[in-house]
Amino acid sequence: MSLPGDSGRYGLAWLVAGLIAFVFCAHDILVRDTDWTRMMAGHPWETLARFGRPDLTLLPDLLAPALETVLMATLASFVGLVLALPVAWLGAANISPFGLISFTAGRSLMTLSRSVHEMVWALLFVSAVGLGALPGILALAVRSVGFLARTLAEAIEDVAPGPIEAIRATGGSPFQVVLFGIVPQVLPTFVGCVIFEWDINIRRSTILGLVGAGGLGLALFRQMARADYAGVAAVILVVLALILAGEIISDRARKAVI
Amino acid sequence: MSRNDAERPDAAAAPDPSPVLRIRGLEARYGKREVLRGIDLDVARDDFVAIIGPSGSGKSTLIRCINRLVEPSGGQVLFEGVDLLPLTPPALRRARRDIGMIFQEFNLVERMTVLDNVVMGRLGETGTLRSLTRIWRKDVVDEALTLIARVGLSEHARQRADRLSGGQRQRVGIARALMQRPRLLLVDEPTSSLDPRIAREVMMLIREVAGERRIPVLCNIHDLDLALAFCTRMVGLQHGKARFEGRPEALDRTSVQHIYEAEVL
Repeated sequence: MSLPGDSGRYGLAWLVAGLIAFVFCAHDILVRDTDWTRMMAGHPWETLARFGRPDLTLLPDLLAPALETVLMATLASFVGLVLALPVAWLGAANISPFGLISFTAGRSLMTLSRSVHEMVWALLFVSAVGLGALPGILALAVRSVGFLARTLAEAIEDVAPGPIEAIRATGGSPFQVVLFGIVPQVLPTFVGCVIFEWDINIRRSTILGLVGAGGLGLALFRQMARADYAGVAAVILVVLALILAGEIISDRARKAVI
Repeated sequence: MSRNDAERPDAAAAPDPSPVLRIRGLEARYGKREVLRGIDLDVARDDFVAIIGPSGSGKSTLIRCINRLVEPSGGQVLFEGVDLLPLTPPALRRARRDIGMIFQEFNLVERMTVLDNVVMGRLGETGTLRSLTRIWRKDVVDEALTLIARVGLSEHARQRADRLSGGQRQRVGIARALMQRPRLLLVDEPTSSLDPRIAREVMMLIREVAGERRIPVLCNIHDLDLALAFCTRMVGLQHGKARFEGRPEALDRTSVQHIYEAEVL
């Protein structure tokens, strides 16, 4: 070995250990865990092929769920925006009302919102308020707060102090200081983020139906349950079209704002 | 009478020596660092007082302690006989309405129009609902437009503030301060962000509009030539203490060197 000391020998040991682990994993998945008799019977290819022929007659029936999905995403983004305002106020170091306590509370709420998956939020709200679009809206709204509040809080922390000073000097109230000193400076960033979040929420809402929270996800789940693969393919097509449309709209809107 | 008094139309008619602003023993500190160490200063009705001094001498802090953008740690600031330091926040906001302020970096709301920025001089008297809707009272808008015309920006009134040049922005800042109908103008390094020719024009404009309305001016300025050209009285600040106070003619080379602790000229 060209390397001095023992590192060469250890390297070889690691390689052997890695190989053994890989062989075990491969054996476990490919041999013990896979139904080869079913695979050999040709089912997987046939099934996959069935996805290739989407059932387009289903499209008119998907219009309502698609609309519901868009409305869920829109309402959720709006509710998320409203919820994000107080959280950002708490979590922006320079305006947090009760110092470190409220700052920590605000930042913790942001982390909580983002670290729990939207499906988990949806499960929580489905068990709380029942099936339908409402738990989906609530789940997405709560999930949106983290990102929106965080970008807003950071925009507030980066605000130029000059205009704030000027408005205080004219005798402006604390409310006017926020309205004219802070809002104009953070508005373009914030609106851009809300539009971006709306785009993401369309994506998220298409899947929330899987846990009973309405929209296209529910349609997908129903087709899946009936093993109607052509139907599933049709739903996936609609989801794809919706996400593309959302992306185009949000891109245009953000460019118009900023 | 100095040449400055001669240019003030009303000044000669009724000189008024009683101070509008009377500062006594003013102290300020940032943490443990003492920035102002017992400042005494009077500003009379027809004064244009320049505060000169090296960077870090406390000029900016002194100006900001008057309307309490910076909280002083001791002393008195008597504005028209009322001490501003013990005032509660609402009373302080009412007092601030009567004190206009002009800033080095203009401090405009960049994304709003010139007109909105000037109207903001009246925020102290504007309610929450009007602030939200930005539907200003007609007489307020008319007054703002008159002031915008006075500072020579009529054709820019509906433009966004961030479209203007530095000199134009400072004119907006001046109009905003005048919109308060102030009885004292605090001016903090109004020319430091401007080139020399524009700086002179801005100083000229401040002196004119203050003279027309008989508003006393307290102005930080580190450019000694501008200070000498425009003020009626000078205060030299060094390490938070006043080292010189008097008419610009009385400021000789020795006292300048004393204030700046360096060879000047």
